[in-house]
Parts: sequence; structure tokens; C-alpha cells
Amino acid sequence: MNAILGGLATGAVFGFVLHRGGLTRYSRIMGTLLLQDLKPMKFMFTALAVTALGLGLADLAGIEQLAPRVNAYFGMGHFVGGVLFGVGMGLGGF
Amino acid sequence: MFLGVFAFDAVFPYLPEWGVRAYPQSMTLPLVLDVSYGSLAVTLGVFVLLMVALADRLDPGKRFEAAETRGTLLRREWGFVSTGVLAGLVILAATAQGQYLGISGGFASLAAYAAKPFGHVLASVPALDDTTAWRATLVIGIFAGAAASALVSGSYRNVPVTPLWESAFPTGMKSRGAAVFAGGFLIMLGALLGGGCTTGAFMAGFPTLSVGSFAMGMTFFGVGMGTAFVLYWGRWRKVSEVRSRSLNLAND
Repeated sequence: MNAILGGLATGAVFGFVLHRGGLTRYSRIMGTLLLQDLKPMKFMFTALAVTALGLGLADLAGIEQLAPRVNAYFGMGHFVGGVLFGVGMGLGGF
Repeated sequence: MFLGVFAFDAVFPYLPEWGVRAYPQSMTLPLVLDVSYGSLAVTLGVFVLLMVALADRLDPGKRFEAAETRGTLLRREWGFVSTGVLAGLVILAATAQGQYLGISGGFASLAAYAAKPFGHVLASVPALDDTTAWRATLVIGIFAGAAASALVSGSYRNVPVTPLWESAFPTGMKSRGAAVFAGGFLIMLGALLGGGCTTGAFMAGFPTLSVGSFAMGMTFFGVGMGTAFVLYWGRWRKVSEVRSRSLNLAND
């Protein structure tokens, strides 16, 4: 039950933020891919930096609860998946 | 998108045979470079903040920012600093709950729940537990949150074909429908093969300093830009054209 409520709440805040930042707009996503409108890029970089600083400082302070998950490495899959994903991203604009 | 999940599930058992998916290993940059995780993550954070500052200086889209600051906080679009920091905090909150914020993984979990009443068990999501429940409800929450944001801003509109697509490809619904369908399928299949989407492999993935996320993130952004440039060859000014006449938070 906690997992369901936690997931819903986390998702709702994230979805709200994505829409507020204009990240659900086709013109913005295509704008970043075509280097005409860098707002989505700046948004993603900011979120990435905040997460990296948060996780990094927590690690230096020894806070176990914020230990990052390690994403598995599986060779060629990343490139095959990345090419398919990239074509889909450019076509769909999401 | 769900078609993408089921396509991935159908090929999942054969992936190692085809050499597309090696046995998953733990490989992170701190392990490769033999340094502590914390210091490297902080370095990445500071470096990326510098890149934000650089991107902000070069951003050609900035001349339309005036439209964003019109209206009350609930009605208008927010800047990249406030939304970016909030998104980072949400990713940290997910980590604190012992979970991982990834949308493509969420779709796979959601598909596993949807298939359950039909007695079908996904090979790639064999067991349903707290983690799959959290991820499946995460996806539902994202749609609810975005819809709530659109409703309170008064910008909720049903726009079948976005104006930018319409101005570049005047064939309307047919071409846009095909592109969305193919895009959704490829994005889902690609994300599951490559281990993450824009959120799971980039925004949340890069800070974990996992080598797999770096490989995935850089590949899909490179290919995504290439695809966009081919699609909009010689027509990239259309983006600014559409932007200059569109409203705050519009579905353009």
C-alpha cells in the first residue's frame, strides 16, 4: 500500500513539474533536438546536477539511505537501444 | 508504447544469444577510475551546472521568454531553474524511498499488471512486488500530475496535430499519427533494450555514474538530434515561427 501511494505521489509531482516546465510541448522537445530552443536541455541538466550533487554529498556525509542504484551494463544493448530510442524520439518528439 | 513493451518481452529471452544484451554487470565510473563515488558525483554536478550556464548564454529560444513571465504562477509556464531543481529533488525523494525514478521501467511494470488478468506473465517482469507496484503507479501519477497542471493553468486543449508538425508537413493527421505511433513503439522498445529513457538513463541515470547509462544517454541524444535534423531538413526556422505566435504552455 505504501508503495502504491508513494509511487502515485512521486509521479504526480514529477508529472506536474514536467508540464509546468513546458517539457510536454512538441515545439520545445523538437526545439532542443534542432538546437533552436534549449530550455528542455537546461531543465534536464539542472535536474541532473541537483541529483548528482545530492547523491554525491550524501555519499561524502555517509548517508546510507541515499545510496544510488547502479544501472547494469550490458554491452551492445545500449547502442542498439539508443539508436531505436533516438529515432523514436526524433519522430515522435517526446 | 505497450506494443513496444510486448515486443521487447517477445525478444527478451533471445537477446544474449544475439549478442545484444551481455550478462548484466555492475560497471560505474568510480569503479573504473578507482575513485570515491561522492567526490566524482559532486564533480559531475558542478560540471553540468557550468554547462547549464553555457547553454543559457547560447539559447536562441530565450527571446520568447517574455511570454513565460506573463500571468500568475498557476497560469503560466515556469522557468528551467525552478522546475529543474524540483525535478532533481523528486529524483532524490524516489531514491530516499528506496526506489528508482524511471518511466520506461514503469511502463513495463504497468504492462505486467495489465497482462496479469489474462494469465500472461512477462518474461522480462517475472514477479510483481512492491517495486513493480511503485513503478506502475508512478506512471499513472505522472499523467495525473501533468493533467492537473494543464487544468489549473487553463491551457488544457485537445490538439490532434501540433502546429509545428502541421506547418512542416501539411498532410495533417495521417503523417502525424504514423509518426507518433512509430515513435512511441521505437522509444519503448529502445528504452527497454538500452536500459532507460530520458529520465531513467539520463536525468536519474547519469548521477549514478553507471557506464551503461552514459552509453545509452549519449547514443540516443546523438541519434535523436540526427533524426530531427533529417526530418526538419532546411526547415528548422519553423520552430521559432511557431513559437513566436504560440501561447504559454500551448500544445504546439
